[in-house]
Amino acid sequence: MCARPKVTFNNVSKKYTLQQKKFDKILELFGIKKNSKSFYALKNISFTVNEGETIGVIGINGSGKSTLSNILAQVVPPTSGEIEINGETSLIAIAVGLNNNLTGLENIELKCLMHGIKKEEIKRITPLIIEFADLGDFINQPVKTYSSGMKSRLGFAISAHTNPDIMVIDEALSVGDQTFYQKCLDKMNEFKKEGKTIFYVSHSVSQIRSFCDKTMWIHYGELKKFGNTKEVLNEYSNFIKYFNELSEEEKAAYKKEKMSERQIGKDLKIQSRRAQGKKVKKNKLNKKFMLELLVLLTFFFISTFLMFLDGGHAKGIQLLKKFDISKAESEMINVPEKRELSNKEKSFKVEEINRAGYIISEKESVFKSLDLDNPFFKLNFADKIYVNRKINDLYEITSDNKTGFVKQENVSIPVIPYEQQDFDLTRYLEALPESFVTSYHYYLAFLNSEEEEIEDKIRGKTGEEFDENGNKYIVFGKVKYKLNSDLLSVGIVVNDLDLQKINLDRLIENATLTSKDKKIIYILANDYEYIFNLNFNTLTISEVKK
Amino acid sequence: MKAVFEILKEQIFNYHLIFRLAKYDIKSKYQTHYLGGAWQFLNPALQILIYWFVFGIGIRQGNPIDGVPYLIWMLAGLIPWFFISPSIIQGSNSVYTKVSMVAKMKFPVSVLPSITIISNAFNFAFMIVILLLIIFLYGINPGIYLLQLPYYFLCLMFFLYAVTLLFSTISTVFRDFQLILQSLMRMMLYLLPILWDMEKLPEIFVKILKLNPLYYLIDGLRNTFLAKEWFFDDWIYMSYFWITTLLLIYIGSLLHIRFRKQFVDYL
Repeated sequence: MCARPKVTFNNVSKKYTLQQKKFDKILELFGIKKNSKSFYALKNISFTVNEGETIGVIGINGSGKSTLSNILAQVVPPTSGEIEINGETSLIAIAVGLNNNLTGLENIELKCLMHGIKKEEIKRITPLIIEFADLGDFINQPVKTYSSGMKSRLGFAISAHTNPDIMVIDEALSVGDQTFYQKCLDKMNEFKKEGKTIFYVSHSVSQIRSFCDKTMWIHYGELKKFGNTKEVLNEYSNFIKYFNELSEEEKAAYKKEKMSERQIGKDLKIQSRRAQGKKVKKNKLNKKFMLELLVLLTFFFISTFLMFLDGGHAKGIQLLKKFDISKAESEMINVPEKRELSNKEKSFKVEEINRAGYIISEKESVFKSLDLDNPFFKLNFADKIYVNRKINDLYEITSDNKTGFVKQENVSIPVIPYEQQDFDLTRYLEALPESFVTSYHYYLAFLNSEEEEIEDKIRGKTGEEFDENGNKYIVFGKVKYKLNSDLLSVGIVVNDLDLQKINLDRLIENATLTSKDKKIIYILANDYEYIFNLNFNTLTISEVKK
Repeated sequence: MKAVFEILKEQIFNYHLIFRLAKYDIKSKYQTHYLGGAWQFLNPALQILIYWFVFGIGIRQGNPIDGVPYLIWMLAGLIPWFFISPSIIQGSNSVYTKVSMVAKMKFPVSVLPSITIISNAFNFAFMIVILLLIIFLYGINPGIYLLQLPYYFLCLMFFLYAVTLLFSTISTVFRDFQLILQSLMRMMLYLLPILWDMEKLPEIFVKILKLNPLYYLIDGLRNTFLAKEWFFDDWIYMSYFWITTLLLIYIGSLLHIRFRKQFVDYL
């Protein structure tokens, strides 16, 4: 047998802190150590194990066997000392890492995956594991229905097939029955022949005797003896015999003495010179970390600062490029064309929109320039416009081939184009003046007619009016026709609505568009467009524009 | 920075492992329920109905936001939230709940949060498809803006990993953190533009709320679905988001590497 060391322990200790308050634990995290009572689960353990050896670990309850096996499997880091392990370790304890909700078969794949085994390899070994575990139909049942023996069989079967170099078996076989135990023993002998290192943790003298080459006796956290199985087991048996013959008081006294030895443990000074060398290196690394952290934090604060600057990124660009905003504004030309805009884009947040929109204020001025001091023309509520782009908080819009700027807040841009809806005017007839109601079909028939024809066919003209945009109206009592520049009637305005008789809630519910104060209501119906103006008690009806 | 690269390398080398384990995660989560995987969609569907009823019909009276029907507007924010919220909460708890299972073998603990994120992402991908269908049915066409969807997925993944890596370490060492996190996340639902439009608030509030990187993600995804804005339009906010994420993953990796050997001691 070649003498390559597989596992080397050098002065390994594991300290647990006793009865610690949560708060102390946190203090300890930040390096403020309080002198709390601690307990040595393992104390100054040193040994070397070579390839292909089978080591029994024996000791009475609470002597630190399980801690040792956890450290061997690298589950738990030691508090101090050095460990050198050449190869992969695998810990077999009862039902470790089995997911209760998954079936046995799924658990096999899951655990193999976690061990980092390749897909093809998993496919190859799965039938072997199933055969070894010998669970029958239970393999397709969730693990929570398994008995403890079944769980440990499955656990052992999986671990045994993941092909570890070093196996740590911690009391795992004590739940299995004799037949399974024999099976495991055969498997372990197979491993032995393959030259694998096995640690067998148990307090059963007979099991260790039949199987292990060497044995270590862990006694109250210390390595009492390590050597030939026969010798160690003899000594252990003698101790057990001696201990059992002691009276109860003596036993308790013995235990107490050993325990207090484990608890004091302040004489332990394990920091070697090498550890100090590491510290210097660590300080250097810390400096590097601090520098990186500082750079990141600086960036973080700069970007936070920029977030709070007025105007967000527009200002940010200015800061970076030192762009003079006042100059740029004075150069702004009244009706900017696209090319000019692109020159100035740096100082304005421009966003292309190119969608249809509606005016939602009662009367809206359109301005010639971005500073809004040069009125261009006026638009009314629900006038359809085309929004070209957004510049800061203004929209550049086009209406009747004229382009100007309006405030963003007074324009609504629907994502979906408004659809025509069913709207029944007869429901609202009782709110309208009688003179209109009696012959409203007749009145509506003269939409899109010439002025002369209307004056010819409808009796009772009472006058003519002009509004501020120069549109002409012909008035027939409470009804008037609005004429466009070609003197065609484009709308009927009905005055004197009786608001008491209108169900306003229902009206607003049906509205396609309402002004902000909900006083002007626009309805796009199948036949006509209706605008109810609750401020002036008027209803305007016009034909749907295509 | 070495720590960050080391952690990221572990994710890339173990991507196969992450995906397979995520699959098992989903499987074991719903195996004991009669309706099984259907709960992945029933649960959010019920919540959507309630939020829509309370906020859309009750509080907003069915009025649209910026011309978008409220249901659509809400879904565009709520569906990403259904991915973000459980990912952060479960991801932060992932190390604590799984390390005992994993510690008995050589296993990169840093992939535990990734597994949680990926297992939630399966669900999220499906919900996104449903969301897109609904959006198209309502006649909204995000068009070319959908191209930035991969960018925001990348943002989501990076940010979620950065946060969960950091939080998983903190909450393993300091258990109270998990409870704090849970109530914080419950608050977040209302402090993010998910159920209500925040742009109407006084500017200073909006600016403060925007410091939350989650705001960037929710807002960005909504702008994608509703075809409102490109991700590079607000480049200051974009760089703020990435710097914050970088800072988080930097601190997260350092802490993770510092504590990963001792996780078992804190159980």
